Amino acid sequence: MSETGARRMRRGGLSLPLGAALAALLIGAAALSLVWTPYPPAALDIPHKLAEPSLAHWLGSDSLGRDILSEILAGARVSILVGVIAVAIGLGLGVALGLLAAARGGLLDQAIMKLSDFAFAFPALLWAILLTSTYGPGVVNAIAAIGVANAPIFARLTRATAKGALASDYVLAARAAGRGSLAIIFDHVLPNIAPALIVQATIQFAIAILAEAALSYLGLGAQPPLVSWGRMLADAQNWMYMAPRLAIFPGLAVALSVFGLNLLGDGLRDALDPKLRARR
Amino acid sequence: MLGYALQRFLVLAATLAVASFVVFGVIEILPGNAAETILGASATPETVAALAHKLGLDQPFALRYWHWASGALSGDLGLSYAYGSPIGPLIAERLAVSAPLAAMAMAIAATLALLGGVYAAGQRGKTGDVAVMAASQVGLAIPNFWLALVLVLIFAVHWRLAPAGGFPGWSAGIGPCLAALILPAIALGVVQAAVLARVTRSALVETLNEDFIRTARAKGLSRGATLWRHALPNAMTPILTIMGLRFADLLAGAIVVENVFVLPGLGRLIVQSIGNRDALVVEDCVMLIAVTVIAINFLVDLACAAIDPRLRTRET
Amino acid sequence: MLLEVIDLAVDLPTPQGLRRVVHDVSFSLDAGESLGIVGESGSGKTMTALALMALLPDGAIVSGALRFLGRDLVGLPEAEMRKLRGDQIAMIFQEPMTALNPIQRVGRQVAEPLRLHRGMDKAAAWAEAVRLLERVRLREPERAAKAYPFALSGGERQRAMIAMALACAPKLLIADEPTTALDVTVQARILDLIAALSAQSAMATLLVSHDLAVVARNCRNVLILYGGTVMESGPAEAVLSDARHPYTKALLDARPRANAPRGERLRAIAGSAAPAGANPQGCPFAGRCPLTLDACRVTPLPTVALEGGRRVRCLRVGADGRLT
Repeated sequence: MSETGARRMRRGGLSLPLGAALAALLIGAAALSLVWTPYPPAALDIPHKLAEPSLAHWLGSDSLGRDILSEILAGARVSILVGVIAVAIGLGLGVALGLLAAARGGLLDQAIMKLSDFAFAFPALLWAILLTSTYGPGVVNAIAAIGVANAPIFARLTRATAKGALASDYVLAARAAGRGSLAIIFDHVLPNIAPALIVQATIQFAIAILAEAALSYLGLGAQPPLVSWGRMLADAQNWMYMAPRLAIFPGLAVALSVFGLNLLGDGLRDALDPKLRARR
Repeated sequence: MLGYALQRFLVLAATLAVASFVVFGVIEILPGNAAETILGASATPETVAALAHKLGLDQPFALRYWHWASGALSGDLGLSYAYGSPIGPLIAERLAVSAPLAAMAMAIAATLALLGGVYAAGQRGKTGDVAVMAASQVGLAIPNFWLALVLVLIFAVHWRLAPAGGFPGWSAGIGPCLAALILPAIALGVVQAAVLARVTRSALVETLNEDFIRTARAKGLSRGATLWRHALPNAMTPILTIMGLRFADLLAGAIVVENVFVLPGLGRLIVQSIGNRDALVVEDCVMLIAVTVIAINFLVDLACAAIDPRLRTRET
Repeated sequence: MLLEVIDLAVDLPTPQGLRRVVHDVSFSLDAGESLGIVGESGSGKTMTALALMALLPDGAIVSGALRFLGRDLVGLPEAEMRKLRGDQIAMIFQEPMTALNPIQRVGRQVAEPLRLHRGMDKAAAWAEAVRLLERVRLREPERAAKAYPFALSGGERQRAMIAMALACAPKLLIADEPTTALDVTVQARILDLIAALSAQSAMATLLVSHDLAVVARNCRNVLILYGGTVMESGPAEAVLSDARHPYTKALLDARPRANAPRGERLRAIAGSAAPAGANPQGCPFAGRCPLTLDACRVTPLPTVALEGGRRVRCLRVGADGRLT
């Protein structure tokens, strides 16, 4: 790579378009699967099981004759579903707790931060295993667990930025003008932390997809007939000596989605948040 | 230093207490109880009540927590419902696989991350930097269990260099055991290395902009010597801290990767116990992971204080 | 001649391409002599100092000649340059707070050049470091050597920095704003220390400062830098008591005076300091200078040599040193 290429890459010049394109591909696949897939994703076709890639089955078929391409398209839905809801739960909880900590300060602030410190040491996957083992496997419990595990990072981010914003002169002026706390938060604090939150949400989306894939692989996430990339990998493991591609394509789908979202997050950070860029 | 260690130890004890409460609470306090889960939906209320009594589930929550926590402190982890044996020895046996696996994976991760991160920071802005960062971006995106599957395909199936799964047991000798652990350790380590290389690089780049780096160069030290002797020790505090945090992630990842390689470790025990509806085993295993994570972070705190004298004197 | 700088120019890489931040700067320095480089921030004075150390930012291009003991440092291989740094040429910096490695004991840092250039073992270098700390008049040098930088005051740290710089008895000491970050009372003591130490060992000093008073007190000769270009140079006493260049005059006028009549306002130089590299053809002070002519912006600066080794670079100054 040339020096100019290196410099562009570093400034996030390539990250944003490449990341956005891959994220669009993920969303496009999910959207397409709602209206059209080559075959019904869960349709068994035992006579044509383990088919090599061909015009009929572009990516081949699996051990029960299901069309891999159809399954991958449909699998994007679960990934997006888990990512969106888990991030929304994390954002909602985290921003609320972070604002509370920043606004109230004192003991409550310390308690919330200590709790998030503690939760940091607990990866999403471990939470999810704990929850799904108690309440039973399934995509809903997986989403809840991943969502809750997302909260601490949003809480920290919100608190850090909100503290600064709340201490600023313009908030003081707004207070003096008699504006209520909620109004101040909506007018002055949230716009300030939005860029950082958007960037982090993109990264957490990627992490959620990884966690869902791992859970489903263990059989704790999406249950049949719901198609998920992690479950496809679990199925593939028994057959991959005969048909390695069964294990390759779903994994590639996960990796490309996560890669794209991470790049998008990096690119957004450079584009949205001059402060973060200056620190790099 | 001693005062600092004591203070960190108190934090450690408090964190452990909270962790045990959360782990126990999540499983025990919420609707339904282990007896129902064990017996399934077809059980009559009487049989559930009988089993609940036998398992001590009809006692108040606080009492049960006390039994569990005090038992765990004295080394009694309770009985496994599915195996009908004490959980302590069961876990110990599995740890003989999981502990070396985690250690190997972390060693791989730390080595790769330091080499890659230091190299990238030294080459900051040049092609080598971009290449390492691009590689780590790819590493970040790969699910560890998928990497495990791909490693099996390449090294076990195609080249037949390592076993595809299973564990011979330590009685079979160190060689075969390490061979059985090397692919899972790589799968776990490479993914963590991707994260840690980025952390290493950015901590180093930040340190390299400090004034004392220029002082070191003004003394006549070479770029390399400045990097290793002055920049890296100063950057180690954030690097070690993140390494400690990522260790938790590595342990969680081991649960999945052990299943790929059918390794009889803690992770496999957890997944099997979930299948067996053996809640106490899951509780104990998760708690053990939490304890390990907290203990590692305690050690990281001590290591950071040993490196940076300012941490030892600052009151928190 | 210890050091001879001839037509030094420095180009720094910027996103817009190379920018010249130091323009044909020339001066010379004999053993035991002291030269002050004065300028506002952005005048190129620090870049001039860093060029001597070959520690400019990556991608910087140096042209001209830097003759140190007869050897040109420009284009000297890095390995050769490393042998000079910290041994023959030493440098101390503005911020004693951040210029020391925070996690290494002071003694070890002072000893490092000795281990590097003199090949001393740990114990010998440590003992020598303690002696050096004593020489820079640090109280309880043993204790100071064992301390970490954060335990020392700003003045103590700067003394430690000086001890480090003096470790190998350099022939040239470059001090870049060595007292700017310190209390006024500490400033004078540090400057006196540097002067005394250089007198002891015939070490030449290059003192970089924005403060005319500091330079006037401590340096035999002075170089007034603006926009990366030397505006005026000569013996410090003569230049400061009888400035010929409009910029030097403005700088002197902008200086707060202790005996100024009460109520007299501090006169600032009108306009803001030109970034180094402005007016590439003409005088960088053009525009901000009250005597600016159209020609000033486009005519290459002449050098007017006056009596007593003084030089003035201004289109408006005639051969007799008077304004035209």
